[in-house]
Amino acid sequence: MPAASYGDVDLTDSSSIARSRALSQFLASIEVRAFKIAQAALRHEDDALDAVQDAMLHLARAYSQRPAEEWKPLFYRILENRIRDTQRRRTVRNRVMSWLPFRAETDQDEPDPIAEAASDEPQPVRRLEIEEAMSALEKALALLPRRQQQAFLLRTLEGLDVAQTAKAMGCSEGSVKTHYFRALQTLRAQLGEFHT
Amino acid sequence: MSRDLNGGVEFERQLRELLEEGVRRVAGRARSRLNQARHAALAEAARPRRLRHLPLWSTAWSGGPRWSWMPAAGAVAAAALVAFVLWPHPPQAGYPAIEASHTTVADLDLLADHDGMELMQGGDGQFYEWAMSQAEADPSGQASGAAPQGQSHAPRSPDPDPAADQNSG
Repeated sequence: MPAASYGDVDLTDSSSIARSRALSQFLASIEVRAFKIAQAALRHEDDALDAVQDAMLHLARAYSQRPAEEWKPLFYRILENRIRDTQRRRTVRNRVMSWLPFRAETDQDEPDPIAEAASDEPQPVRRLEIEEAMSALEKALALLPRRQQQAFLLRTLEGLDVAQTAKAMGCSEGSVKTHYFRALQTLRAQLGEFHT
Repeated sequence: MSRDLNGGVEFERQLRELLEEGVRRVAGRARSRLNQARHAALAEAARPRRLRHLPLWSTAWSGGPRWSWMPAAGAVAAAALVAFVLWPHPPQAGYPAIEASHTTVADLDLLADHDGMELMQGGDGQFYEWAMSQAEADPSGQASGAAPQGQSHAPRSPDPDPAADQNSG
C-alpha cells in the first residue's frame, strides 16, 4: 500500500510527530470545504461549524492511526453522520418548541452589525454577477434531495472520485453515479440561465 | 451529443468555480473556529489512546487520569466515615463494662431481697460491729468466739456480696 503524503510530510516515518503533522495538514486542507458542505446541508453556520468540529475530533480520536489515504472518506462519512444527527435533533427540538406558547420566533443568533454592514469597496459588475450566481446555486443546492446534494458536493467541491464518494456515503458506486447525475440534471434545469 | 456533453462539462466547471469562490469567501470568524477545532482535534490525537475517552479536564493534571478517580475516592471516604460513626465501638480500657440488663436485674433483686432490706435498715449493725472488733483484735483474720446474741445466721464477710446473697436466697 503506497504511503500517502500531505505536503512535505512523509508518512513512511511512523513517528507520532510526523503523523500529527500529516493529520494537521489533512484537516487544514479539508476544513473549509467540509464547512461549506455541512452548511449546505444544515443551512446554519454554527451548526455546520459544530458538525465539522465533531467530525474532526472523532477522526483524530478513532482513526488517526489509520492509513492517511483513508482519512478523507472516513472524515466525510463521520461528517455525514454528524449532519444527520444535527438534523434529527433539530426535528425533535422543533416538535418540542412548537408546543411552547412563548417560543422565540427564530433561533438564529443576532446578526453582527459589523459583519452585516455594507462594504465601502466598489463592487465590480463581475463580482456582482458571481454573487448572484452563488446565491442561485446555494438555493438550488438547498432544494436538492440530501443524497443528491451530498454526492454532488463530494464529487464537485471536494473532488472525491466515485469509489471514495461511495465509501463516504456508505453506498454503492452505482448509487453515487445515479445521485450525481440526477443532481446535475436538476441544477441544470434550475440554473440554466447563468449556464447559457 | 458531443455538444451536449461539452456543455455538461462546461456546466460542471462553472459550478466548481462558483463553489470554490464560496470557499474563498468564508468569513474570518468561521475560519477562526475551524482553526480552533483543528487544534483541538490534534490535541486529541496526541493523547494516549487509553485516555481518549476521558474528557480533557480529567487528564490535564500531571498527564494522568488522576482527577477521574476523585469521585470514586470521595465516595469511598464518605462510606468509611459513615461506617465508623455507625459501628458499635468496644469499651475503652480502664472503664468497666456496663452490662445494663444484668445490673438492672441484680439491683431489682437486691431491693426485693429481704436480707437486703435488713441491711439497708441497719438490722445487722450489731453483727458488723462485732466483726470489726474481731478483725481489730485478730489481724490474722481468723475470728473466734460466738456471734452476738440475736444474730440468727452465720457470720458473713465484712463486705457482703449482693450476688452471693441472691444465690443463697
